[in-house]
Amino acid sequence: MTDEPAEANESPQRSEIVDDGRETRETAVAWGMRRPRGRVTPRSRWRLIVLQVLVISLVATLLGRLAWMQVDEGGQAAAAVDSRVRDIAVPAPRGLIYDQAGRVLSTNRPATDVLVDRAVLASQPDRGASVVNTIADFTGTPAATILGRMISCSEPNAGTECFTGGPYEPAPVALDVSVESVMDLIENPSRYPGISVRTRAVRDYNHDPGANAAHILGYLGSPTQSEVESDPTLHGGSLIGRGGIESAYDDYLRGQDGIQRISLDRTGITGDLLSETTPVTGASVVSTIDAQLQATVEKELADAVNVARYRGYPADSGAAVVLDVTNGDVLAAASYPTFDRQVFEAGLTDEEYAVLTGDDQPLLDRVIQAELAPASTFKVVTATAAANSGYSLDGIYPCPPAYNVGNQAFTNYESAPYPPLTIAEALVVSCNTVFYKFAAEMYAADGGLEAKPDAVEAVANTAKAFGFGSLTGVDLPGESPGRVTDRARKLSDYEELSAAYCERAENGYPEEPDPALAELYRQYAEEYCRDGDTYRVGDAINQSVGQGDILVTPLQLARAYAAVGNGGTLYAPHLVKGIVGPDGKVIEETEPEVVGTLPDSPEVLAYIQSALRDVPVRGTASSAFAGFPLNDIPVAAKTGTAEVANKETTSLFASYAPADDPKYAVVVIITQAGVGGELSAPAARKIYDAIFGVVDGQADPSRSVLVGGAPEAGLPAAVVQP
Amino acid sequence: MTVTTTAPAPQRPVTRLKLANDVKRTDFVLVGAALLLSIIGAALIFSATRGKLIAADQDPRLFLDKQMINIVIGIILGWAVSSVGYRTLRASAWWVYGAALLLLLLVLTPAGTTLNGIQAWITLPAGFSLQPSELAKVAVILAVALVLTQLGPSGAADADVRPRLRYVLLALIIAGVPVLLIMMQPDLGTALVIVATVFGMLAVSGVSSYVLWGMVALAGLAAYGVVQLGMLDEYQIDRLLIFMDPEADPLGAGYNTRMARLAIAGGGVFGYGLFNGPTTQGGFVPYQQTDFIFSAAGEELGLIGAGVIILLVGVILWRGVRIALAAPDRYGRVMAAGVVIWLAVQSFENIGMNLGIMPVTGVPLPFVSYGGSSMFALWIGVGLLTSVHLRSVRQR
Repeated sequence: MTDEPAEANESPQRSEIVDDGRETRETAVAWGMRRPRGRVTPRSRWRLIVLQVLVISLVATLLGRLAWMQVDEGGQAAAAVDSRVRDIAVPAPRGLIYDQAGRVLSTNRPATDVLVDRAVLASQPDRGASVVNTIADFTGTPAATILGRMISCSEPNAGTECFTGGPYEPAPVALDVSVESVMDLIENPSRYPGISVRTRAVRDYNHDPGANAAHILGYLGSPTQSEVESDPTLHGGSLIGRGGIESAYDDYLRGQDGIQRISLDRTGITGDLLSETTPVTGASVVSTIDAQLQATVEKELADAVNVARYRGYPADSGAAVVLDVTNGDVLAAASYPTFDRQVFEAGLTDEEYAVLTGDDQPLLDRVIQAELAPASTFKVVTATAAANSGYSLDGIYPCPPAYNVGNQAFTNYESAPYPPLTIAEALVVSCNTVFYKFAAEMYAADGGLEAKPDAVEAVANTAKAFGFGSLTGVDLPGESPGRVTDRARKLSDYEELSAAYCERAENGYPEEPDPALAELYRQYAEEYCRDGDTYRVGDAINQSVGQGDILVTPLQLARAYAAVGNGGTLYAPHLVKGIVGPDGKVIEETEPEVVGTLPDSPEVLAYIQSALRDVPVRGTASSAFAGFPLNDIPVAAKTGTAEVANKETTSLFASYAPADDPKYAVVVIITQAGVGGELSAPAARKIYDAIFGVVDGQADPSRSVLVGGAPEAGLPAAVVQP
Repeated sequence: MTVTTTAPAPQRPVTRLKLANDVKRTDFVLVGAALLLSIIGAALIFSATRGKLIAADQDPRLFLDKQMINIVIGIILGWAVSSVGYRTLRASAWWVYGAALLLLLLVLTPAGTTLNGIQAWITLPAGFSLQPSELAKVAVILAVALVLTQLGPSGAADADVRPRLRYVLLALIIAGVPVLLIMMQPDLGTALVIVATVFGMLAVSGVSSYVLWGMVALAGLAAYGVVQLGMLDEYQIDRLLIFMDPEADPLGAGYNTRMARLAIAGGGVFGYGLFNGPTTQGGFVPYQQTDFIFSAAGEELGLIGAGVIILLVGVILWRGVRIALAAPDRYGRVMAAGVVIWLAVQSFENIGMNLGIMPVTGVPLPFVSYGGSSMFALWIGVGLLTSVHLRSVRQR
């Protein structure tokens, strides 16, 4: 209230003098009033006038705001989402995933969900608490879980299972419940306002012949808030692929959800159908995977892990992959440890979530995401580099127990000392020192520490030409590139990392509980800080046998060996043969994709091929292939045993067969599991047994896990309509 | 000039004349505006409720008929009050106040009925119920006006004397007790209306502006303390804050305002026409017949109809201020001002919250919203204003 300060000091006497009829009449006239008889005192009069002004401004404010809303904002409101109309998505049946022979890998089955309409709940006196309890009673889903699934992801207290849909979209709160448990909800909807039950198709993963293929196929999940916002075809109830083919080919598989536009009645439950678009079934994907072979590979990998563990190794992870060397098709790919895709369907429990995100990293697809030292399997690269650098394939090279550079001794690891050997022999028996010599000499020729401008860096560049250090282009998400270190890479890494390492050299690793280890790390950091940018002869020597700064993925290794086998062609690996529409018409068929050629002359390649053929016969894999009909089906292979700091060795085996007319490349890698020839090689041999139907030393195509003894040439007839 | 008779005029004709004059002298603009608002309100209530009632298998005219009865009772009460006269009522102000306090206490006992989380009703037979907090507004106005116009022993009735501090404090206590009782229901909106009304009455009664500003400062501090100490329920703070950003929580506290604003914005200049507003007929605005009746007006009657409601409210307030200005005595002036401020605060708050410029508190729109007790209190208020008006006109 306003007032004149002077007035506050007025004495009653003065007021009475002022307060005569004339004054009052003047005021009254000024305010358009008939002459009032009451004696209005100045203070009261002023304040009533203030009140009068307030009344006018209140009315003006309300009228102004009303006009603004109804005239100016009216258009906006009409354009805004009309909450009296609701769009209900009718989920499109997702396309299926077939294996290369036309067997189903992923199909659909009906699942029943309970949904709540949060708008209806919000208008209930208890804000929907009784509805939540009702659903919890019927379905056994904990009330806390239901509440968590009702909270919009845009709210600050949203949990991991928050709802990504719009405010007027019903939120699914109990997933994949039994129909019997919610029968009363289905039959008496009027008794349960705000609750609805819907049936949707979910992935059914349980098929013969028991291939899991979790990493290849992927699973389904709800879209994130940002995905919903960026993709108009997605809504909160959508399911999209996560990982594997489900993700890479989601656009094909998902189809297009139908939309029922419904005008709501006053209860907000149901209403008249205004318009409807029918859902479009997703297209099906034919994978290159063979379900039988995949099951076999998964089993052999798991068995090998168990054998290693029986032998006392941790054997914490592994990967096995089978490629078709003629086109890059991935026939089987197993990653260990794996997971059960089914757990994603009913919503993860905390326990399941903890396992999936735990230290074992079961979600990691080690076939394409693990970066590992290739060890001796890399020697085909060094041999090629040496041959291309002028070392004679007919030459004889010494294989001493250790190769000395300055005061450093680089020892043989896998093999005993041998008399001087050919390069082929060195591959067969896996003599390291022969390759050390090549590497050290090529390093010196490049200029050593002071690299010449024309340094060829033969080993690193050959490795890149074999497809290492870059993405293979496989049609799965999340592939790792691996790593090939040359002088330039070493320099750029140093620029990036030196600051951190120099700081560590200063302060050590106080978080490491083992003081000896902490000191070891610190010394390494100090060394790196001092001259981490220097490409030293030791780096070159280590790399020559696939150790040190060279990391590959199992798929890269398999593809490199496939290229060695097929005459030098590097294919982009594929997991999908083609896409078939719901009507059975072929939408797309994958063509083999050549992405490179090995830098080997035919002579060099033939030389290496022949050397690799001897490895299972009399080399490091001979015991694993004892009893295998190598005369009928020669296998070209290389074992590897990678040393990893502070860990058990990685067991590697890379191969292709038949060596005289290569068709399959098989790679098995198990970390912390011992020697390549003793673990991965036997596992790969069993995979070959299965492919070629080897029983009692006899190959029999009719016993092959592949129907007809080989993968289908094109798309399987069973899924294609002419 | 001939002397026809020496007998004085008989008593009866004079009374009749007085009554006839009273009817003639009534402020028809004021009463007419209130009546028009009541009728528009009844029509809107019918429009907003018949759908729900049909769906519930009930008589669609249920709310309409009850509101019509409320209006009739209200008018009768108003007429009675104006006939009795505010000076007579002043004498019994303490009785009215005491009765209101008793009812407010009674409603907090198990005799009270809880609706939407507020224990504010006493159920009466035949489907009627009483909301003591509405009647308490009138009682507080009568009692506070009485205290504020007690000028002390010298009794210079109309001198521009500010009320003595002890009477200011007494007025605050008189208002404070029912406010506290109402906050215990808890009905924050009604409590705030009474607080604002009493503050306005203090101002009009001539309390020093320093005291008034000091009270504003104290109230601000107290509000801060209440929020900090968590004395308000979370939903009350929510509702107070949500009006600033109704989109923040479209399904929680913001849902009502969002729906109301959607309805009003959709109405445009001419509206959808009575019984044709999609949001109103679809029953999307919660509590539409009470707190959000204005949104039905906005949607169905458009800018023109809703504007008329605002203007009618303005007319009532304008006439009310005039009556206060012309009041023949201090009591009449302060009391009339109290009625005007009460109507002004409540109207502005209600329409403002419908328009999204005021926080959501459950106060009805005078004369328009559904509700018996509110209607009775409002017509009693009209009766009080009329009574002051009649006296000032009669004295002319």
